[in-house]
Amino acid sequence: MFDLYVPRSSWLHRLDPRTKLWGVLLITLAALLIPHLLLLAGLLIALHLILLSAQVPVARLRWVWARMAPLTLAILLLQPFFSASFGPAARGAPLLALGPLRLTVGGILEGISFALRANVLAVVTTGLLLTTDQGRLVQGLVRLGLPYTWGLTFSLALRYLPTGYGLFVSIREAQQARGWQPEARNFLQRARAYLPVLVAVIIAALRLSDALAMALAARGFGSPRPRTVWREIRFTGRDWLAVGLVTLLFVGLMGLRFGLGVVARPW
Amino acid sequence: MADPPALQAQALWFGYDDDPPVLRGVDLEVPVGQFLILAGANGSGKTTLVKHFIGLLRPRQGRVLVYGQETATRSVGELAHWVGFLFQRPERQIFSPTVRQEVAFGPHNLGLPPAEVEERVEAALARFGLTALADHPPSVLSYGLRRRVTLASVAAMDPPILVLDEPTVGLDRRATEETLGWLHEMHRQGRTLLVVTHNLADLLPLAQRMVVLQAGRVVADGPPRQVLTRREVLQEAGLEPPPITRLAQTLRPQGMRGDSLTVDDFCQEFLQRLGSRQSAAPVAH
Amino acid sequence: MTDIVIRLQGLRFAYPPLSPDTPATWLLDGLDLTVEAGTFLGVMGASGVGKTTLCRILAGLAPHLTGGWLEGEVWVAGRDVRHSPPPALADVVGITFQEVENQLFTMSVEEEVAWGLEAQGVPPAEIGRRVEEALATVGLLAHRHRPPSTLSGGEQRRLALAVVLAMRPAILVLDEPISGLDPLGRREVIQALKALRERGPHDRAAPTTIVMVESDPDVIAAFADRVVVLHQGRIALDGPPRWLFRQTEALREAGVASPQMAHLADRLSRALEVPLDFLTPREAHAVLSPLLQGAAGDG
Repeated sequence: MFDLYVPRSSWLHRLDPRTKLWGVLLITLAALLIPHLLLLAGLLIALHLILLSAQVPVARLRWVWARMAPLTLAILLLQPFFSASFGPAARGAPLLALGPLRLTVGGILEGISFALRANVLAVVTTGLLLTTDQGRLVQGLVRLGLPYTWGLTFSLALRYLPTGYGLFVSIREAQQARGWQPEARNFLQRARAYLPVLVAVIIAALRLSDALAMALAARGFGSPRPRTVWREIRFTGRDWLAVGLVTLLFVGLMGLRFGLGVVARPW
Repeated sequence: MADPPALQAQALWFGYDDDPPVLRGVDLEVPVGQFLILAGANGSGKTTLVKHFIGLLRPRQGRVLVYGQETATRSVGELAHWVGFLFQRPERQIFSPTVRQEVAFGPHNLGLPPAEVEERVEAALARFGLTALADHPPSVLSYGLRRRVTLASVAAMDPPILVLDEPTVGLDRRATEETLGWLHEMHRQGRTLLVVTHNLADLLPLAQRMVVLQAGRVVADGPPRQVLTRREVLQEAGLEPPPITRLAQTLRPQGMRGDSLTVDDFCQEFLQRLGSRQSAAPVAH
Repeated sequence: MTDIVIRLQGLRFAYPPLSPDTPATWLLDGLDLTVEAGTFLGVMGASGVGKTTLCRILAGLAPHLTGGWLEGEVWVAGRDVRHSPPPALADVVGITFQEVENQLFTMSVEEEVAWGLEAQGVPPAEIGRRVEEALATVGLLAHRHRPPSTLSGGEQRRLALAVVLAMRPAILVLDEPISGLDPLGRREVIQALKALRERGPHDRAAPTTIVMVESDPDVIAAFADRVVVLHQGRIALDGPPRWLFRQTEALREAGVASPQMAHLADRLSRALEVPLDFLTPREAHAVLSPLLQGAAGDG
């Protein structure tokens, strides 16, 4: 569940992580700046096709959709009201009016637009993690200027997320076996009731980080000699091609949006 | 009408979510007052099986009963009144600011009146030599002491059934012997004990029954001496008898029974056979 | 004449106290130890006596990372530990810890082995070779792309071993490499240790000196040339396993377990008034079976 990376040797997997980061950046910007429904839907479908061509299992994409479903639903239900009642002037006569809340066709379209955007963002970032080995991703960030220790912290955090979760579950079970039954009344009371688990988890996490620090030091971390990299990431012709295509696409879309003002509205 | 067994599993099948089953039709009946060892390779389903008895897991198929009551109808908190459960690495459950509070956690959760909680806590602290440390923060104590705190914590709940998952792992000799002594005491008091362990050398001599689990099924079930003689079963299940038992088994051709559990066992039998041999030898003229 | 690869003289160590008003106590208090290159040293003792601390000191983790006070002389492969922080010792001392979870932190087996080499600035081509070599020695080459968290207990311990082997240290320090494993896992790790020992004499790059902390006396008996028992901050017993495991009283006092075979040898020796000596079931069989068979027919 936590390990998103699916090892394959597809064209997308083999691209330099920096290329993919650039792609994620541009696609994210494009999605945020262009509200047009067809374009967003097209972008979403294109992303799926790209990921499928990269041999990402359909089950993983389904997983993303399943995780996004509650948020998508919330957006589809709430955003229309928000846009129509408080946003810029909505088109069309109100379909529904409940006090200060109004529902219009324009509002519904905006709602769909937002939902599509949210899903584009989710799919593109998950896509990055699905097709990029964590070590190489960190290497990419480091080559782009991130200090190595930050990169290390980031990858350690990712690596130990499942461990932390496992600790949480096993400690919770241990406390349950001691008769602990947290009663959930409100959030604050539940948080207090969870102290026996949270405190124990924190203590365990502290011990773990102590031990990890020793393991790192024992392997030479902190050595004055500069660090070498076993498998360097390298920019190839394909990467330049990909960067070029994505940038071109982005410029084109921005031209449509700002230059011609064509796709500035959802519909 | 006879008393129901302390623990029962009937045609128990279990798997996590959609994963293939970890337990495949386990049938187990533990009568009240029995000391049972559950052995098997890692992944055979031992921990998964015992978690059912405290209600942390519910059967996918089949039934699990404690004192004749289905665990499916009871919450974990309710079952904690009957079953005292100690996980692997129990010291990780410690969270309280003082040893006393830590030991009081269990009895308190059981809803006992404060006077009784106090009584039980003091008794448990005394039993495990922790009275002097009662106001100490437990998480900074040495490993051995923290393990003692977890024993005191489960003892204070005074459960009629004890289920322990690998209670001697990580303990040094002294702490192991203390734990074994406590287990023996609990058994003498008439409690039912179910211990999951790889430490056959120390625990088999205390147990009345040994059950071997392999790939989610029971493959051996009987008195320890008897089960230890089934070498192929043990080997397949990924188990190894203690060195003294192995030695006794290799001396079967020379007349040993091959079921020694302890050095004492072996010595007694060996010296006896040696003596009878010598007395059977022709006397030189 | 073999080199002295570890020299401890009058070693005293105290961890920083947990609160400013509690006084610090010396955990190790006057420890003297000289170890020749090529020795397989077993270290035993009760819980909390300082075995892990000793391991940390040999790797420079104490006092440099843990804090605390260290007195006396500590020389490891010719380097003064008091003035060498862990990275400066990483190429001569390789240490594995008791908790496997907390020392395997990358996303693949081969990356794990490579990490330490990268940290020490080993050239990339060399890294590749050492990774293969180390994984082959412990039998994990087939699993090189798997995430360490998916490995079994025995496989993880072997991986930890491969990690230190790749760094080609002169001294290997193993803190409880077998504790907590099921019989299958134990066998795997023991197998890997055997492979390591066999490589030793022929491979100048293999660590010749191994310090192993273990509470299982059978494992110590199987591997160690020499065993030291820590008790009350010092070395209470020091000698070959065969001799050491017969010192039942001293071992009991130090809270250390003896192999069942040593107990048996002791008991039978006394009962039969004949000195018997065996340390493993195989040796015991060789000694005892003729006794059972040959009792008859002596005139």
